[in-house]
Amino acid sequence: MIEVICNDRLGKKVRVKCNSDDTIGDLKKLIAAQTGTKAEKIILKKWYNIYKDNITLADYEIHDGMNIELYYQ
Amino acid sequence: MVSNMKKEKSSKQHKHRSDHDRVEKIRDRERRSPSNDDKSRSPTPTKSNTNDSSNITREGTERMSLSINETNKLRASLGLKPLTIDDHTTTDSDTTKKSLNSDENFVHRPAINLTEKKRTEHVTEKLSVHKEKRMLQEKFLATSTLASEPAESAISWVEKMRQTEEEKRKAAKRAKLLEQMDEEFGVSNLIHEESEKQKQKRYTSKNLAGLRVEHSIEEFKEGQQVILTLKDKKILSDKKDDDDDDDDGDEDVLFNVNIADNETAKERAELAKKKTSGYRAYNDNETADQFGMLNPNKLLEQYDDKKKSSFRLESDGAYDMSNEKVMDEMKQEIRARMQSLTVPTPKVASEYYTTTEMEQFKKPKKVTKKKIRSRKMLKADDLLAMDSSEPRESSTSISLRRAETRRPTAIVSTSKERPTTISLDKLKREMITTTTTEDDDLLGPDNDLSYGPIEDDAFDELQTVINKTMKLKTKKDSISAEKALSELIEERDRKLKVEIKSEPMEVGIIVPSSSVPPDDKSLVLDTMSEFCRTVGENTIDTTSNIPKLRAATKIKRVNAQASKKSSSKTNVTLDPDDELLQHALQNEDFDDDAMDDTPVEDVNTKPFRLEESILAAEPTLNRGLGSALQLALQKGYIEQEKTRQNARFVSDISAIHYTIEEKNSYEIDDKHARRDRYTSGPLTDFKEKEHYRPDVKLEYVDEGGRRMNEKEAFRFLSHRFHGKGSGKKKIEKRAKKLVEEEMMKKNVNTNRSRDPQLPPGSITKN
Repeated sequence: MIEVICNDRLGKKVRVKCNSDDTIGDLKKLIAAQTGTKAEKIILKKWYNIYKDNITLADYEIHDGMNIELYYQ
Repeated sequence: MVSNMKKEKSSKQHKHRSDHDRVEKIRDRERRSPSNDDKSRSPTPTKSNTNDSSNITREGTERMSLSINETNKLRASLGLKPLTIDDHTTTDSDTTKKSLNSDENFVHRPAINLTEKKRTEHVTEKLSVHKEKRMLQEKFLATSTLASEPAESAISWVEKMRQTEEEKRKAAKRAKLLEQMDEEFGVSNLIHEESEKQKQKRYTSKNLAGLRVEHSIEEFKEGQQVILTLKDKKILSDKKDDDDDDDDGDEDVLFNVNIADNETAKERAELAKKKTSGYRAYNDNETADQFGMLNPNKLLEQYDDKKKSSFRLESDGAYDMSNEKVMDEMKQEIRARMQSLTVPTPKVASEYYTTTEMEQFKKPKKVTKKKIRSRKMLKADDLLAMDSSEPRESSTSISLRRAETRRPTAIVSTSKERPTTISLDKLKREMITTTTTEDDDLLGPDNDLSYGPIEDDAFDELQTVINKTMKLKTKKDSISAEKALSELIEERDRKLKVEIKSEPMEVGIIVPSSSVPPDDKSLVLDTMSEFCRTVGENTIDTTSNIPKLRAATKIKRVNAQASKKSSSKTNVTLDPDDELLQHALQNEDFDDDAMDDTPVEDVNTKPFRLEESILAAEPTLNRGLGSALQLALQKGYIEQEKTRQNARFVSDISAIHYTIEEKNSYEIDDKHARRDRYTSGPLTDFKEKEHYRPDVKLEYVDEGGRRMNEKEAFRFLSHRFHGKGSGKKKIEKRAKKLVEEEMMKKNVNTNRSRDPQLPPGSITKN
């Protein structure tokens, strides 16, 4: 179980607990549940690298405590 | 698009770093205290919080973080599998690792426990000891003990022992036999003695007595230790029939190997120097023998045995050098007496005398004997003559002869009365005593100086000199009182004159001489004089500069003169020379006045003119407007305007269209023009203002009133400096930006229909 921090830079900073084998899509769902936005609207980025929905966090090498940028479509 | 991305990048970089830090700190704080306010740390405005869902934790402090249970629930609702707890532990360990690695959490190595250390040392020692013991024991094991030997019968052992015994006995027997034999021959005692002797014999320097050393004594220097060894001898000592041979076959000869080698080397060198070894018809290098005798010619010298210099040690093993020394001295003497037949080389005769030869032409100085004053035997007639010459001299002169003359007069009188030899003798004596006081020669009264008449040459000279000095001194003293008075009066007159000149302010007020005593050193302050002085100064300042200067100079001169006068005051009696000096100085001053193009009379009159301006009648207005204006100025009705009007601005005509072509006549590159730009002014900080450190905040404001940051401010400045602004596009861009900012401030529409490529926070018009 890892905890990932998603920052909006506009006031939304969310800590999401998830498994490392979860996909980005799952993470987005969790974020959406926590922030109150729609999961489809969320875009997770790391410096212009948009994380794709079907790939797991482990594959993206997202570890515990990492920050991910939160954007919206 | 590109620009947006760029902005994003830069912003992101900053944010990333800060984010990371913040994350770390947050984690730590969380660990320590679960309740912490993230809102305080977040820079973003808090208005977005209102849009947050209701899933904020109960405490309201943790930033959007759900507990595990909640997340599991959430996941269940979403259709995801629940959180795996294995990772949790690993993550915990990771975090702990991280915490350990962080700078804050570090563990020191435990300190060295001294007791433990001691114990370990002790133990190691013991171990080593034991080890050694073991080693030894192993050794012992190697040796065969009685028990380890092959089992032998007792009989064999006994036999062995018997054998050894027998051998011992036999040895003893043999020894006895030998001794018996020795006793028979009678040698045993001798052997005993010798052995004893050998033990007791000591070898001292006395043992060396009589031995011969085969080197010359000169080779042994003082303080030098030379080891001498016995020279090799032939086994068969052949005694030759020749008498020259000194060798005794039986005698031991001591020699040093090194010295011997040196000698041989020297001989070889000599042979090498000799070009032709062999017969020499003309013996050119005849050298004297040590005794001063020539070497006799030898035939076939090289085959003769070389004479070896040697000396013999004496009884105590030493050799006395004193005899040798004596011999050496004798030799030296003989050598010195030898005369060489070499003639000094003939030199070309010089045409000129040398300095030494010149000296022979000098006249020897006549050694003039000191004039011994032959003393006249003063007779009565002589005394009388002296008496007559006395009144010729000045009465004031304190001549030394007075003492001399007085007494003789008295004595003469007495002598006249009673012409006795005794008195004459007395006279003589007294004369002598008086003369001796004058002369350098110290002669007692008993000395009979009967040379002749006294030679007064030197004496007369002395006398005249003394008289002169006395005159000079007494002349001063002898000035009569009347003369002094007259002089004083003169001084006063002079002083008065000076006073008049010095104080031009005193209008017509000639200080009465009586009031100011001439000899008074004190400064007299009169109210009138003071008033006039002060008044005068003011007027001088305002009217013109020239009279001011004059006054200043006059004051200076006055001061000088006053000083002189004061000095003169102290000196009641003036030397004639000093008087002259003063006169000259005064004349000089007068000359100075003359130099100023004002004769003495003018000097007197001009100050009065100034006085007139102050205290005289007001100038009338009948002269003209100018004089009236001047009067007004004087009185102070009109103020002189010092500021001059600039002709350019005053004139009616003004050029409207003109361009300033050349403002800077000098180039900026010119060294000398630039000099004052950078060099003038305070080069170092003020020392008084060291502690003054003002908190300066420079705020730049835009035209619209907006605060400008550094960049914009600089842009603004450069525009002003160059006189050119930005181009059209730039201006439009900036205007757009401003508009956007305003929009930002008003409404932030974030979620609706936005271009995904735009960075968050960018405003789009809907």
